Amino acid sequence: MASRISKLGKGKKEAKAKKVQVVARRKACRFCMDKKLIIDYKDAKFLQAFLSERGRIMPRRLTGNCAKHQRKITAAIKRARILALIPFTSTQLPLAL
Amino acid sequence: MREYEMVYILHPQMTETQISQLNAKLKGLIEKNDGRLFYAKSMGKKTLAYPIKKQTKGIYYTLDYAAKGSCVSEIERSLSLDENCLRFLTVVKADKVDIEARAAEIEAKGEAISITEEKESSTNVSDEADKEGEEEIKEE
Repeated sequence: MASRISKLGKGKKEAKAKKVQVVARRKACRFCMDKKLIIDYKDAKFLQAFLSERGRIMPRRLTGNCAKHQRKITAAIKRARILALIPFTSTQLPLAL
Repeated sequence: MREYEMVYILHPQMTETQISQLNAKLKGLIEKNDGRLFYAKSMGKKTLAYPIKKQTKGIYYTLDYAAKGSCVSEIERSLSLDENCLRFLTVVKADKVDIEARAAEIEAKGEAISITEEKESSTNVSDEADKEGEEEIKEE
């Protein structure tokens, strides 16, 4: 029994140590670093970098954007979707004509 | 007065004269409502990410203008009545514009070339070009 408890304790400690490491590796927002970068809803290629393979918007935890710029990216992606520059979903394939 | 940016998608089978007519009409609407058109640019023919009105391609155009809100609704109305317009989107670019300063700024950037004006003057030329093209085909 005593050995089991000690093992559990060890596992918890390791998990905690891992969490701390992830937080420390937080990326800096690329738009805050480079003020020249403009978020434009007409630039489909640029917005593609913030989409998953299925066309979903990537979360902040993966893109490393700050809250302000993530909001702007999200708004730009939604506008680009209305203009059919990028798809709403990857299942929306063009008609075979 | 606000500065607006508008993108509209036109039917891929529209001829150049039809497009220039439409652009001239939009320009006329803006000027009739005391607005000012800064530039009109073609973004070219693009493949749509998903079909709109059963079309897989569209011709994209961008307008940048300063006008009142009522003018915007009038332009949008005329586009929604036009069957050749697949889609449009108007975005507020700036809440307040100094028209002259903005026009000068755009001119300095070299973006001031208004397609509507250019097309109007060159419609005859393009018509001739079309005819020439047809003749060539006939010859073949």
